[in-house]
Amino acid sequence: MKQGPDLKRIEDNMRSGALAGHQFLGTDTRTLADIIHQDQLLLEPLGLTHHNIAERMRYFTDQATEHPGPVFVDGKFRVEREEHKGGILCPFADNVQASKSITQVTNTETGETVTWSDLNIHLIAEHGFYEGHGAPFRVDPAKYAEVLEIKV
Amino acid sequence: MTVLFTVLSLSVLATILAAIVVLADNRLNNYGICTIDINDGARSLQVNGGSSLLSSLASQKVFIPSACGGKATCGLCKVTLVESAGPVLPTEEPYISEEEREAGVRLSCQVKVKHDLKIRIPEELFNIKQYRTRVSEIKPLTHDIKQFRFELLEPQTIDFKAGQYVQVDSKPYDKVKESVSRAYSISSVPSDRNHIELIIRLVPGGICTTFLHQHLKEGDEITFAGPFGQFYLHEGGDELIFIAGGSGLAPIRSLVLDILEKNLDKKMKFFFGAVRKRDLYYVDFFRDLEKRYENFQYIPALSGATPEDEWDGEEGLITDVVARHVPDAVNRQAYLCGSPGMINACVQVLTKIGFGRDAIFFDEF
Repeated sequence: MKQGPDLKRIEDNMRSGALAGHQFLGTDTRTLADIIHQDQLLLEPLGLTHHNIAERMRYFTDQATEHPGPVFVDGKFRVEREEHKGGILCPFADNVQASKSITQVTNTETGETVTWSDLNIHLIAEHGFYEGHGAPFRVDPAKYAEVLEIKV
Repeated sequence: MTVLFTVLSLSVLATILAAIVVLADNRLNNYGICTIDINDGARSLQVNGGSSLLSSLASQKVFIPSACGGKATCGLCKVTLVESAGPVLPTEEPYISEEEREAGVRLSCQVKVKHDLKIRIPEELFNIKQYRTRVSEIKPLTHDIKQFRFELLEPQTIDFKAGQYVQVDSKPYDKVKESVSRAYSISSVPSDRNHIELIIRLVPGGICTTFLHQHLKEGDEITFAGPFGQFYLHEGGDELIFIAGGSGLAPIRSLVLDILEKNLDKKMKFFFGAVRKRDLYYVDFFRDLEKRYENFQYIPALSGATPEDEWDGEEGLITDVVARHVPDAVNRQAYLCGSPGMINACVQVLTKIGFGRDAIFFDEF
């Protein structure tokens, strides 16, 4: 997919490590435009939108924030929040910043776990960006849908 | 022939335009030497214009507190501009109250020095120094927390109050091209003036903690600036309630050791909250203090103990544990250090118990 100068600048900024030690793109050599586009293609067969995924993530993060310590949600999801001081800026230069805190959800029926930072919710909702392969918070859209049992 | 002429013409035109852009950029972004007047002439600095006020001041050894290293995500680097330097930027708005805006308060990391400036900063910031240090020991404390001991090389001594913090400068590593500085509380006792110790938790993806945990080695040299912060022992309070989680143990350790060393007439209760046993550290250290000093009590608590933990201590959220052990606020002060969520929850519980806001202390970063 063709990448415009704005996205190229954002990709360069991500790869420089100026905003986060893991550079958001991990070991992924695809362009930022390709990463976003190919994740969009992964999402379409599921009949879901980025907002569906982000809303579900926010639901669990809110539950963990309201009930500190490990908490069981809806009888099957073990949710744990690891709070970290400080904030991190959205690499898409939209002046949005999120805390560095992390949410981990385990579906106890399947034993599968997904982990995200507060910023990932914004990155997915507003930019359709799930990070690059090899990045610590990279999770395929289908994996989110499966573990968090996201249905249309 | 026409095609060739057209291509050549366009190439020449593009070159001329590029040259104009470069010249304009040099001219428009060259602000020359600017003067920064601090506190009505107390200090006057000459700096090259074009950089942020925060970094311009740091280049002249005037260090403003900043936990995020100039990314407008901590809101700590406030200074007062006597004359306006333009409107408050959207990046600053979350941190600047209406009152502060009217008083001319800005985040120094977001103000670009383009002309002479007059600013006001707290006098004590003139005492902040930059220290060159050597890492003398790195000790893992838990799966994601390490303790770092630094020997001071230049200057060789530091004076700080127990509870204060320093701003450590990272170095470029892997693909990270920039150095950043981040705030970490000192965990050692102020009487050891030739060293400081820091307790630092690895933040996944964090630029500075990744550098410290995965790239810094014993024997390496790094720099920090400090000491900063108002989180130190304040007047009053016969009994001190210390509450910490994670690496928040650091300044509490410094405070407890300082109080015991100075033999101050204070009772102390230290509540440390963790999820599982593997998140606890310095348990033997504080248990030993408890045995040696009657006025010190250590109360670790787990919020998510599993049978494998074989835990027979306090269980539940640290706020619930505090509520069980602290009956009222009479002659008590509370010192908190941990995640924002933990601090908010503790402030709520302490307020319910009867603590006034002036008897609860914590760092804002």
